[in-house]
Amino acid sequence: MWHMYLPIAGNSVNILTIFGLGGFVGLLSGIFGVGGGFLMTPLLMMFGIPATVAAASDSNQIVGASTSGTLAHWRLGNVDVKMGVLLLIGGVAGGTVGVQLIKILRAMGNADFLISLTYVLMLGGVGSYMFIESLMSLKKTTASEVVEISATPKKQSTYALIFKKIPFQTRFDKSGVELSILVPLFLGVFVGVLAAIMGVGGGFIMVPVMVYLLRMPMHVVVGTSLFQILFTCVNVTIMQAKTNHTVDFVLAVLLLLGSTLGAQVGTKVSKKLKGDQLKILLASLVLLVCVKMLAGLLMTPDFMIAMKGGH
Amino acid sequence: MKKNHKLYFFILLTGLWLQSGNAKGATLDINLTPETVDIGTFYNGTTVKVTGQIPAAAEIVVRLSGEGEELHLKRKGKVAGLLWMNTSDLIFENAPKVYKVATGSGLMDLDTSAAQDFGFPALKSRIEISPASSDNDFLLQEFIRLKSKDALYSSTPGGVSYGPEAGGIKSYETTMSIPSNMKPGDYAVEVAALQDGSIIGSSSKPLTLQQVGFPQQLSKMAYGNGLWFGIMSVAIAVMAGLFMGIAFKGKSGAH
Repeated sequence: MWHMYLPIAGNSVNILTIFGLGGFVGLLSGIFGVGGGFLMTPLLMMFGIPATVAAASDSNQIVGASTSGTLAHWRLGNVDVKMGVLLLIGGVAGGTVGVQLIKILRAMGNADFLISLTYVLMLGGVGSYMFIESLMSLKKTTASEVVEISATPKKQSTYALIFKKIPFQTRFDKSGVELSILVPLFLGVFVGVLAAIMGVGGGFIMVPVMVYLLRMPMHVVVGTSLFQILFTCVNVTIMQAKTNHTVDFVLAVLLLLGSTLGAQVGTKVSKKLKGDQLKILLASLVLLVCVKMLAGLLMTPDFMIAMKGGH
Repeated sequence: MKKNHKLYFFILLTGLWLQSGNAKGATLDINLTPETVDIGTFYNGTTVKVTGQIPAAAEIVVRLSGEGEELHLKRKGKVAGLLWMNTSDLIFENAPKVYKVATGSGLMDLDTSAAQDFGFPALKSRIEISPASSDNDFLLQEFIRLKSKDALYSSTPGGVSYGPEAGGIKSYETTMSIPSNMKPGDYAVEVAALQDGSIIGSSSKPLTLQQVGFPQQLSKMAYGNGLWFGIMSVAIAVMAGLFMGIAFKGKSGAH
């Protein structure tokens, strides 16, 4: 009785396992503002769900978790809608470009090699930078946002000067920054392209981009990222259901039950932690995924053949 | 007279076999319980019992197999002498969806017997691997290992048990496990009896797996109207998220 059959995945799963998995990933998403697809998809595959169904059903689940998380962060005043919408527009455009780019790469051959390498380098680079930066500012003082700027004074000034020169300057109240609207649009495209190439939602790239390139406070980053992820995943879920029939509703609901709860708890945890503490935890998580991926590339695989994702 | 005696004896023997549903080189007795597996909401795989009767001196082999399908696989190899990656595409044609073999205790080495076509080596002539290469045998072994990990392929020598002999006849029985990842569709259970190094009879029965109730309704909707299915899935997810958000607000408001 503790098992349920997933009609689209064509396999059955233990209800409690999936509930727990949803809760854990929902917790991470509430704390850090990431969708958690980079953790969820491989975990679901371990439980015998085909890769394509795992990814599509996970995006359906993220819709629920990020609705729950966005609502909770909204109440705390952590959602910068203006910034979120601009990043979203850029992200959709970037995603479209990325999908075309990956087709070209695949036609050229060796795409898998490039993708894996980008993935590992990206995770390693972003994780290490975030880890070192937040560790240093945690050591110096507890007032994170002020230190962040003074810790890198030279970089900040050149960076700020260039950014001031870009037209269409506007003020983002919730984030407390003044920027050209072209900056979030462009960065959205950048993340969208990368996410499409790597086949992930891009939350873990978007969060560092908002922190370091848009200089938004960490708590607003989390709320805004969730807001943005919500719309991305609504789009992905409907597209996947329409064209590939890979959304398993039963699986998504089981995950949802856990993740919407987890997202609420996560928001509470997030509220209690300082910006730098959040960053250092997320950095550790990103580095952990990087090490796992690297290990997968270096260790002799159990099987010399593998089923191809998709049909 | 002697000739007539022999003939009489043969007719008697055939009659005996026919009576129990067996005839030399002809159809064997086989029963499946159940013949149709219903996949409902809480389905978690099941078992199918295969029973029947064979001549007392014979040995039995039972095979559950599914129709062949074309599978696209990736071959792994080392890139730059360091990193393990998917290096090339492979196509496995006519690969049975399921292939489970069990034999009686007296037939532990199926592959060298007259019924070797029931075993794994027979897959070599059945499955076509392209592009063809010199290590097709290795790839096939890896494929069997991969399928075995998912419990879709299996070989159980001695997995069939026999009942007591009576009147030159004995019953056989084996329980085939149906893993939850075995797709809905039509399968076949085949049996063959071996005696003195040759197959003396065989038979086969269809086995059907079908989704019923809730899973069936959902599948119909997902494949029938994908767009609406997607919109419904998203709507329910949003509602669940809102519900949880509101439920939690009430909770924290009390503090």
